[in-house]
Amino acid sequence: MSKVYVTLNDFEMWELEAFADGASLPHVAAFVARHAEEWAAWQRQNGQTLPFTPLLFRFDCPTTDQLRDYLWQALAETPRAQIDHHLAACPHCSAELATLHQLVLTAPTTVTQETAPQANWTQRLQAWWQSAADNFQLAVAQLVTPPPGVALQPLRSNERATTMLLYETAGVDISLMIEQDGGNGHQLAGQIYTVDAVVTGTFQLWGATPATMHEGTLDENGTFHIAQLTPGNYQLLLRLATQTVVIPTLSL
Amino acid sequence: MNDKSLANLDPSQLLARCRDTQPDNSHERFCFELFRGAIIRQNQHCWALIYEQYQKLVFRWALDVLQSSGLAEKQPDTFPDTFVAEAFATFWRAYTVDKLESAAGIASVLSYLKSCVVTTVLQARRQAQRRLVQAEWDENAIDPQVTADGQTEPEKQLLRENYAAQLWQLVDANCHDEAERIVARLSFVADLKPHAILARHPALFSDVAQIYTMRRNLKNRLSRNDALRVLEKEGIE
Repeated sequence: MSKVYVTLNDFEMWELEAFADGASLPHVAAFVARHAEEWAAWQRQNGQTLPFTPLLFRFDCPTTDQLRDYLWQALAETPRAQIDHHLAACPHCSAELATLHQLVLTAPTTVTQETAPQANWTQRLQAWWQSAADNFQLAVAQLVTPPPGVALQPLRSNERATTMLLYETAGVDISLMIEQDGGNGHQLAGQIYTVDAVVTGTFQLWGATPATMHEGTLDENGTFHIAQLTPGNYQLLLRLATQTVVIPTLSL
Repeated sequence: MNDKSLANLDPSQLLARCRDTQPDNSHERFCFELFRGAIIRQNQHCWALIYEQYQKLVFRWALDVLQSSGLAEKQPDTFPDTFVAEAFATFWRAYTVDKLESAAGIASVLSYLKSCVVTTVLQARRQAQRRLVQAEWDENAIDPQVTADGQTEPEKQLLRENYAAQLWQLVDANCHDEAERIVARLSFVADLKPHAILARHPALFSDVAQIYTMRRNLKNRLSRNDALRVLEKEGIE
C-alpha cells in the first residue's frame, strides 16, 4: 500500500532537501505540482543557505598555472606535496588535472587543418567554427619607431625619463609612452589609432615576473593609462572591435 | 648547420625553413631555434613570428579544449579567439629559459604551449562555475560587502582568499568528527550535492539521508555560531 502525502510534513526532511537540490523524486514532484504555495513557503524557510558559503567555493584550490607546473613536474618538493594533499580532497582539481593530462600528454601535440571535429558537434556549429578558425587572425604589432635594434634613448621631460614607442600592424597604429613616475615605478600611456572614427576595446597588460595583469577599457579617444608598474617585461593585448592585437614583448 | 650558425640566421629565414616541412623532420630545428631566439635572446621579431606560425594551431587547440571541457556548451558565446592571446601570454610568462634548455625539441615546446591553452580554458571554466555558485546561493552580490573600493583585482582576490580561509577555519572548528568535516568541505567548498558525496565516500556514509541530516545539523550549528556572525558582520577590512 502506497503512502498518502497530505502535507509536506509527511515527507522525510532529506527527501525535500534532495528534491530542492534537483534530485529526481517522483512522489515529491507529484505533491509539489499540486501544492506549489506550500512548497514555496517551505523553500523560503528551509532552502536558504548560509550567506558566507559562496566565498568558500574553491577558495584554496591551486591556480591553473600551479596545476600546469605540477603536471610538468616543475614544482619544488613542498608545493608539490601541498598539491598532492589538496588533490586527494578536491574533486574539481583532480578532474582538471585529469583533463590536462589527457589533452596534453596523451593526445597528439599537433593537429592538422583537416582535424575532424568530434562527433557530438552539430554540423552548423562545426561549420561556423571551421570558418572562424580559417579566418582567425591575431595581429602582432611590430615596433616601427625607434627601429628594432636601436638603443632606446629616453627623452628628458620635467626631470622624468620618457620613452615613446610606435607600433603598427594592419590597420592599427599604437603609440606608447613610458614614463618614470617617481621612485622605481613606471607609468604606461597608450593610444590606439584605426580607420574607425571611434576606437572601442579593452586592454590587458601581462607582467612576467612577478606575474601580474592590469586590464581595462579604452576610453572614447582610444587611450589607456596604467600607473605604478614595476620594471620588467610585459606583454600587451588589445581586444579591439574587429581584431585582437598583441605586442609580444615590452620592456619597462 | 650547427647551433651557432642557426642562431645567426635571420628570424624570417628561420621561419621559412621551419615551414619547409621535411620528411626527416629536419625543419624542426629551425622551429625550435625560433623559440630559442624569442626566449633566450628575447628577440621581439622571433616572438612575432612564433605568433604568426602557431596562432592557428593554438586556435584549434582552444576549440578542442573548449569542447572537451564542456565550456562551449555551457557558454556558447565563448569564442576560442578569446583564449588564444591569453594562452600565448601565459606561455610567454611561464616558459622560462631553464624550461627551454631542458626541452627535448619542438614537440616538447608545443606540448607546453598546449598545456597553456588548456589551463587558460580551465581558468575561464572556474570563473564561470564561481559565477554560477554565487548567483545560485546569493542573489545580492557578495563582493561589495567584503571588499573595499579602490583596490586592484589581485588585491581584492587576495582579501577574498584570506577572508575565506578565516571562514573555513571557523567552519572546520565546528565540525564534530571527520565525517562532518568531509561533508562540510565537499558541500561548502566543492559545492557537491549529498549524492555526489556518497559516491565519493561510500564506506563512510550509509546512505544519502545520513549526509543530508549531517549537512542540516552543520548549517544549524554554524548559523548559531557567534564567531561566524561577527566575522560576517565585519567583512573584509
